[in-house]
Amino acid sequence: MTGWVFVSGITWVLVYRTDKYKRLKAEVEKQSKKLEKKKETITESAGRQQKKKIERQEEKLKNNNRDLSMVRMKSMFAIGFCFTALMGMFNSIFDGRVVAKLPFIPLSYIQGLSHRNLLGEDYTDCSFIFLYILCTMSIRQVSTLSLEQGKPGPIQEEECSCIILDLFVVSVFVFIPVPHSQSNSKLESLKSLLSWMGTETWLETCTRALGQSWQKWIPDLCDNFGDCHTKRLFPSEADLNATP
Amino acid sequence: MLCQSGDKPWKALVMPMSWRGGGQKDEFLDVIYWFRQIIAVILGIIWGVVPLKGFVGIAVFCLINAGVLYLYFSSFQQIDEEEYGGTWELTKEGFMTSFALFLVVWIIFYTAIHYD
Repeated sequence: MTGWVFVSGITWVLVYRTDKYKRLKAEVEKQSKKLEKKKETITESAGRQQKKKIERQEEKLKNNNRDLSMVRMKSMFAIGFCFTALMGMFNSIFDGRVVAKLPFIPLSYIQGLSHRNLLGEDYTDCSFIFLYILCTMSIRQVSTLSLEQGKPGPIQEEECSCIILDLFVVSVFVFIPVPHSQSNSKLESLKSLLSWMGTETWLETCTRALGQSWQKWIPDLCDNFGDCHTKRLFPSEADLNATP
Repeated sequence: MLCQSGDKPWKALVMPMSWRGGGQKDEFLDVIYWFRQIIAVILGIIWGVVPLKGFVGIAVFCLINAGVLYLYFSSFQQIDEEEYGGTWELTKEGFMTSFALFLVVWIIFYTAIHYD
C-alpha cells in the first residue's frame, strides 16, 4: 500500500498542482488564442512589421511550450515507474489464474493475449492481461477526460489515470467472482494482494528492471532484516536444503 | 472541457441546438464522445445481464452505437457533416474507447452474474 500511495502522491504533487505548471499552461493558451486571432486578420498585403510581429509571437509560444514540456517530464518518469510496478505486481498475483469469463470466444490471434498462461482449451477463460489492457484503453481515457480542467495535456491524462486505474483494477480483480480459479477464496486473494503491495513487490520490480534475479536478493535481505513472511514465500537455497 | 460550457452539453443531448461556429465544434465532438461512452456502459450492462453472448453481441453493439449517433447528429441536431470532416469523422469519434469500455462492462457483468 505504501508504495502505491507514494507513487500516486508523486504524480499529483510533482506537476499538476504546482503554480509554475498552471501559470505556463495559462500563458500558452492565451498566446495560442492571440496568435490565431492575429493570423485570421492578417492579409497578404500586410506589412513586413506585422509579419515580424507574428513571427516573434510564434517564437515566444514555442519557448513557452518547451518550458511546459520540461515541467511535465518530471512526472513522466514517476508514471512509467508506477505502471511498471503495477504490471509486475499483477503479473505476480494473477499469472496463470482465470480472472473472468468472456461472453464470446476471441479471434485466434487475440487468444494468445486473452488465454495467456492459462491451462485448458476453454478460450472463454480470461487472463488478467487482457482485461488490464481493455481497462487501460477505456477507463483510463474516460476517467482522465472527466477529471481534467480545460484542454487536456498528456501529463494530466497520465497522472489521473494512474490513480483511478489503480483503484478500479484492484477492486475488479479482488471483489469480482473468480471462476475455475486455482486460488482459494476471495479472502485469500485479498490477503495475498495486500501482502504483495508491500516492499517485496517494489524490490522485485527494481531488481527485474536491473536484470537481476530477485530470488537471490530477497532472501539475503530477509536474512538481514528478519522478514519471516517474505522468507516463507521466497525461500533461499539454504532454507530449502535445511531439514524440516 | 464539458464544465466550461456550463449545462450546454447536457442540454444538447435532449434538445436540438445550433452548433455553428468554430468554438462550438470541439464541444459538439465532446458531446458525441460522451454520448458514445454512455451508450457503451448501458449496452454492456444489458448484454451482461441478459446475457447476450458471442460475436452477435459485438456486432449488434457496433450497429446500435453507430446508428444511434448517426440519427442523433443527422436527424436530431441536423448538423452539416462536412463542417466536421464528414460522416466518417463523426462516426469514429470516441468509437474505440467506447468499444473497449463496452467490453469491460460486458465481461464484468457477465462474470459477476452468471458465474460463481
